[in-house]
Amino acid sequence: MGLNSYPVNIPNTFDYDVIVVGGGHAGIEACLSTSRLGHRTLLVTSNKDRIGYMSCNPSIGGLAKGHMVRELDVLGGQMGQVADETCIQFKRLNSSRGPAVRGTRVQSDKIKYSRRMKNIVSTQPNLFILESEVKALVLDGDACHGVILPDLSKILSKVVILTTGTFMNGVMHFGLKQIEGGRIGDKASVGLSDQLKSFGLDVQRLKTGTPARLHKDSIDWSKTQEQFGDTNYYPFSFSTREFPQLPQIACYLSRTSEETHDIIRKNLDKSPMFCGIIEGVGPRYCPSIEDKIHRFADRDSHQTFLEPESLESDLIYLQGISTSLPEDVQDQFLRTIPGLENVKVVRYGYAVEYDYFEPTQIEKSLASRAVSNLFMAGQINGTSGYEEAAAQGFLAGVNADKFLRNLEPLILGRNHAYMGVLVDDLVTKGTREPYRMFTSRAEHRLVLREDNTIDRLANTSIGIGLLSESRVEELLNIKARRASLLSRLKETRITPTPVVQAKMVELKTAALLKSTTLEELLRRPEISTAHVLNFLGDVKDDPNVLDAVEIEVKYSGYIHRQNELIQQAKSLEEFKIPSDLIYYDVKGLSNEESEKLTRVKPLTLGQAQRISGVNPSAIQAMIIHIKGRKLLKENSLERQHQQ
Amino acid sequence: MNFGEGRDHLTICSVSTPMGYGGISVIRVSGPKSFEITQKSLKKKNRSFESHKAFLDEFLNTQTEKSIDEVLVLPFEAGKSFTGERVVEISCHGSPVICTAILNELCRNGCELAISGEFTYRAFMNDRLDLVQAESILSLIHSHSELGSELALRQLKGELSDKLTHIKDDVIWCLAHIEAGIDFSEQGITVVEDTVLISKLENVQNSFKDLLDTYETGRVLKDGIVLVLSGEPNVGKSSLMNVLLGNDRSIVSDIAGTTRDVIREDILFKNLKFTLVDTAGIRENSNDPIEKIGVERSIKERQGSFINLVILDATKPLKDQHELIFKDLNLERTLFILNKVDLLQKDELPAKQAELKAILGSIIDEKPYIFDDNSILFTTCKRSETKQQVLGRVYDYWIAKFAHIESVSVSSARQREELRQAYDLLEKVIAGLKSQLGSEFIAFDLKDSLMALQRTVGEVYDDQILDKVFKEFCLGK
Repeated sequence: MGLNSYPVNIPNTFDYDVIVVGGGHAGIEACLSTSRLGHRTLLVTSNKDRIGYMSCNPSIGGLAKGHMVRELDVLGGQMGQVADETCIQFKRLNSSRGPAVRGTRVQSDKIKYSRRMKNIVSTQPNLFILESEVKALVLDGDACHGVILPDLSKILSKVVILTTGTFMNGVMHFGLKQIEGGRIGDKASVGLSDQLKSFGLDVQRLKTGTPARLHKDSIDWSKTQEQFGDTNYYPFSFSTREFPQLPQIACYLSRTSEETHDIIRKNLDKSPMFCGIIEGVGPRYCPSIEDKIHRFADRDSHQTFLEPESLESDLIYLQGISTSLPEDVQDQFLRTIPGLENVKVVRYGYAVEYDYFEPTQIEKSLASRAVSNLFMAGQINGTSGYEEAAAQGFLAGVNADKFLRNLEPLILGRNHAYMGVLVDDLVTKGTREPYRMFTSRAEHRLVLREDNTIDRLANTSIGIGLLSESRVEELLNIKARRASLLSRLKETRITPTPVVQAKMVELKTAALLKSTTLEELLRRPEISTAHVLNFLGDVKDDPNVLDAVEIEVKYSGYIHRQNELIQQAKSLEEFKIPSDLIYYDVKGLSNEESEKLTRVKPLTLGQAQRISGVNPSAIQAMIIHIKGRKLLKENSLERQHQQ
Repeated sequence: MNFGEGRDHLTICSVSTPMGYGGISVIRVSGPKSFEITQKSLKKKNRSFESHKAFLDEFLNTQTEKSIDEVLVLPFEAGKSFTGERVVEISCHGSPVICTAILNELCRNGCELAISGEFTYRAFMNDRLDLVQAESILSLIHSHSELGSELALRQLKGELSDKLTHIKDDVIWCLAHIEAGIDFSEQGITVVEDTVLISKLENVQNSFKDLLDTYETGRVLKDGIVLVLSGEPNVGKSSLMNVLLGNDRSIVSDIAGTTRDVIREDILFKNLKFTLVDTAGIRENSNDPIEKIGVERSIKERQGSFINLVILDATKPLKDQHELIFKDLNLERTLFILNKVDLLQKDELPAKQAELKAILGSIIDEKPYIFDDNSILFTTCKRSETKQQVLGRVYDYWIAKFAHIESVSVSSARQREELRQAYDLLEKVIAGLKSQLGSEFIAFDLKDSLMALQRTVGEVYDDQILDKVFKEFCLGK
């Protein structure tokens, strides 16, 4: 089913162009982009006050995730700006490592973040909000034409984007007690996934968990270690001028002890994870505390950060201690953590189990293969994390626009953006656990840096058309300033005159042996852009330009090699697989490989190669098969011609 | 090469032994119909083809009903054969006429002639072989010695693959730990100390080095020893060449400079192939431009040899030898032949040896080289034992100094190229770790090294690798 195939029975009138189901981080980006691109859009959410709510940790960004927030910002997404506005602690992770793996993370004021997002969505022209629940989709054959509400009324639309998060058939676990719901205080959405299941969609269960929230006045802060953020700030958005806007706060470090672990070990039989009540797979990289103690039995302590959720509230988030143990057990073990001896728990930790659709069932545009006019984004596709959700929501929105205007979908390459890696991974490999982005997932990591986001994506962004004229100008201006500085560094030579040599001594670097360009000088490890600017006299610029140019120059050798590898990979990435290829006919493929390839339907050999369980020999067999087919066709054409 | 579409379901046949007259020839039939097609031409009807059970029968021309030859038929059931398909091996008497008649008969009954390399291609496609093994079959076919065959067999059994896989696991371990260090740095865990990585990677590097060192062994066992004879004109190079060859290949005369070009001959000695290279005499002031070129080629030829034989006239003072004789000579790979000893008294020999040592000592002053007495031989072309004496010494000398007979070895230039690359990249990784380079760059180099390693064992393919491998196969293999 191609993106452009319209259903036979198109209703005569639509209430909306686009309906977005769910007001989380994916839904926000989806509905903002479609409405901003001129489509009448309806956002259906079960709770208006929870738009943009941070259900778990109160922070945005992190390794690889920070990269995506920046990409989103350049492309015209919302998350970066609001995270900047509501930042209460800033950190650049891995700042001691190389430039490609530095990641920005801000702790955001959770209340202000959600309030700000709700405000943006509510005041957006062309965008309407309905507080209700979607029970089912309006389906005509395999075409979706809108949604059905609990009172069975229908709202018709040309496109529906599902961003239902953890709500589909959501079940919360508090110890052995279970409550239907997608988040504490919110109902689950029942019916939708069963309807889609009837289309043969593969629906699976995942699990996620959240820690307890504590009252700040019940904590003995003197027993914890204060942790401040960084004071060199690099906001997410290239448009953020004033940063930070809010007072910056500290977090507090404490640790579990043997006593904590003893209590948890003794109560493992009351954990729904350990007695088999939860079937869903949880994230291996973000395990619950009971998981950590079980799996890393040799460690006698685990650290935890106590993070204030908001300047406006008394709640403290207990990072690293997510749990689904019963409330009384939580009370017991929390009190063994230094500082928490008399802690008052405002909300206990719990686990949520929910439905997701195996993501190999969607196209790279995030459109469903089985149901036309339907897009899916966020946790429904098996991901975890606000940033992963926002990135998909954005792409689903942009591709809904492309679809409605009968244009080619926006597909970002793995060498262009982490967002491209995200979609390609999901669609190609699928996932059996909540998918989180890591820098190691990007094989072209060295060119996917935070500092060069603008260089990578400015042109794509202009093509999407979401940025205002002034913001486009700003982007092009930064790009131009970088290019001009770089060319001046390449062109400007300094010669070993006594004045210059004295300067070298001052900069604690070796004397010049011969005439040298500033670019060559900058390659010296001890020299920074600020140093070489001395020789240019008039140039003054912000880190946005200086840092990016410095990195480009200093690591040009590696960047060059990475680009070469990208070129090499291109031959496979551009080797198109005929859409009518029958994998079971290809000699040399195992049954398992044929089955996987048939399900994923990769567009190119590059994509086929990344499907897990497809061996390199299979790629070779496909090359031979496809080339042989071509030869056969050519020969028979020739024969026809001769006759 | 077009093994793909259209041929998948064919039953193919070909002569698997070299074409020509010999004791026996083997014809191989592979594919789903190999049993039926073979049965059609056998004298005894309704035979049961049992895997790995050979039987004797007569192979008939089904048109004339006449017997072509008495044959030994050996069937292999699918999954238990070289190609993974049903295979029949038909051994007949070794004659091109018989072989062609049998092939014609098979093709009449539904077989297709195999394309060069197609059997091995099928084996590879059916997961019967990995790339290294496929290459080693090639080595086995081309191997010129028993040692070489043994080496190729070892590779066929997968010993090199096993060893490389083992090394690869270590590299992957390091890479995984570096990656984890990057992506989980927030969690406050030191995943692995750099010193641990360094020592592990240095071990890997050593394994690479050991394997790379075996390349020469692999190549010699496969392609033989290249032995270059050089010296001044008229010291008896060509005579010695003839003694070694046992015939009169080179033109021998008393006029200096008879051998103007490089002459190559192959001989078999102790089941090892020796390629003897006779070069133009090295001298100066030659007015003949063609001879001048010959001299230059002689010096160049010596650099590509496994062993050099430098021939000196023992009847003349050694210090009068032209200086070019010793130019750019790798002494570790050189044996000195003091020729024409039949014209000397026996008690003159120790003095000659001392004289040569003194000369060599004076020309190699940069690094102290421990002179090996085994590298000097006294010969005369007038004695028939000379061949045994010279080649025997070369063989022993090479085995003692350069051979790695016991270990698994690398024998293809492709494998060596990839391993060399993997080795050099590891060097960068280790240097990066020591200089605290950004982890993502270290990971980048390590991944690159891993990819080279994976290419060696054929885990990462591109068009060229497979093309390269299959192109080298001759028909029927």
